Amino acid sequence: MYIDPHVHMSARTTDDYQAMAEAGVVAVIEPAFWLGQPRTSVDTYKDYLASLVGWERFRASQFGIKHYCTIGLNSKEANNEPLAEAVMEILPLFLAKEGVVAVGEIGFDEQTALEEKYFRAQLELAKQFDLPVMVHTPHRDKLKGTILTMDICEEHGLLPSQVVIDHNNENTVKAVLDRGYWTAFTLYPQTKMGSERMVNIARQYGSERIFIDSSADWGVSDPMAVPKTASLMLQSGIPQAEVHQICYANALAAYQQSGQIAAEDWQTADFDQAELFEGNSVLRGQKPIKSSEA
Amino acid sequence: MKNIQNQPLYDSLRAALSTGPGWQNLTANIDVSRDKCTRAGFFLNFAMAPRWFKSATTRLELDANLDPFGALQNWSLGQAARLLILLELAALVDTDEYTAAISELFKTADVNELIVLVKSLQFIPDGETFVERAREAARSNIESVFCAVAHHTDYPQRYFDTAGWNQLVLKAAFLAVPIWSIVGVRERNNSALVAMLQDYARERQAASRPVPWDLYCCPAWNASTDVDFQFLEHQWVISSPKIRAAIALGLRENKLPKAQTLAAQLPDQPSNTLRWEDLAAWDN
Repeated sequence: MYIDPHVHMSARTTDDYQAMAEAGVVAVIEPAFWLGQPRTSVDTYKDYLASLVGWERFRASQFGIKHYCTIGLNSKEANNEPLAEAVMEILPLFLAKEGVVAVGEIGFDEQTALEEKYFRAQLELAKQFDLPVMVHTPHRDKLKGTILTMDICEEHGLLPSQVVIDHNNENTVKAVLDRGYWTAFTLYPQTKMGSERMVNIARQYGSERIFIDSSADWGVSDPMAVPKTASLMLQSGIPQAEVHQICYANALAAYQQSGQIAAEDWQTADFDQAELFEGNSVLRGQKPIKSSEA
Repeated sequence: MKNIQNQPLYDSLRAALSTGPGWQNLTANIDVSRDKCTRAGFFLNFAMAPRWFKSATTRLELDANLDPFGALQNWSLGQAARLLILLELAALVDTDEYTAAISELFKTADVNELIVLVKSLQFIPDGETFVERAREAARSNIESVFCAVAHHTDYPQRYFDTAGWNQLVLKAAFLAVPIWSIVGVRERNNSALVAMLQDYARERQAASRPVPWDLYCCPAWNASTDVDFQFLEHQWVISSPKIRAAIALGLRENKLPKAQTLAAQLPDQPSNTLRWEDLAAWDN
């Protein structure tokens, strides 16, 4: 049983859902992010957030996967101040929806003043709505940006246990673990972390507060990264209990603080592909599957 | 604060909710809204209400006269709290703000919020203002959202135009959810709808797919021409016992002599005491 706690399923196909379900993925968390190009209006943002709590949640259920999301203004689009202001106004409409497990993914891209302004404002929202925070650490100047992120979280009175720092690597892992944060790793085929490197991290640092995700999106990425890495860890002699922590239990513990995700959700999950959503079946003539048959 | 428009329902909801674990949270937040009603506060109360009552297993029980079609049967206290918040809003703000705030809720609703909003339309002031939102629900293929507008409410019967009504019934056939129990299905039956249902039945049969048994109530109630009766006779020949019984029952309830004659001539007559709700329980 696995959880992929950071995957942009809106950008993926039903084949991915099928493969993930077959490989044992029971739940996914989809953070709000950009579209690969910047949005130009708050209305498209509103529709996107509505689709995360609506259509995508339904679509996942058709494959027996429970779908959760995080809601926030991402760092890239925080640099468009008029847009960012308008998005900040609508975020409270979405943060209390069913299945929203964190404010996220928020943090830094270029580490500009505007990114910092909206990161801070969203930390306040997380406190107001009593939600954990999912932090995107920058791809460039990563260590400095990661340390700055943690400093700001503490300045706003958040506990490290309420914050997930994502996209870590060998250079950031110690700093993040030492300060008590949830330490997440994104496994990418070519950038960020690879599965072999992750095995070494697990060997060196163990499984406490560490978990992994695929961050699969519209780019070259692998939605099977979590189950594949779990297999490699087991083959490499990492104990099963530790693999379970890294690939399932730690992510659940971190986001369970929202009160919006619990193991019972998929232990009793029932799905029926015959149900349709907004006039769109995810099926195109295949026989619907019911969970009792899957 | 203006008067509550649906006072008996409002009082009953308050009485039911006052026994629940979220009552203090709910009343505290309602008091804040009464003191200074903001849209953000309203959105927050509506979103959070089910969480305040999360541990409550009590189900809402209301007098039948307050809920004539049974829309609120088996509602949780969290859902009841959301309806109460909608009734409160109407008494706190002017009509324009009331309409704008509820429209915004519709646009950003998750599935469970949408179901509560749609089911509430028959109970809240100026419900007819939101007829387009109800029409959207009637286009939904999320069965639970569709059924919120199609069943246990006379809202479509009262506020949908003929085109909207016909699409609602056709969509019920498409989703294979009950048609016979839609409020107003007899009163609003019409020839254009019957033609669409006949076409739908033929289309399904051409693809060797099943036809919903209760699709036949509308053509049988409405049959008046030779073509209508030929359609029913042919369907009777090629269909299951349940559909045959539905055709016979529909023809019996059609006042035209020709319909009565045909109903009497059909072999394998269902019992004279058979009702639609009995037939619904038959195996397909």
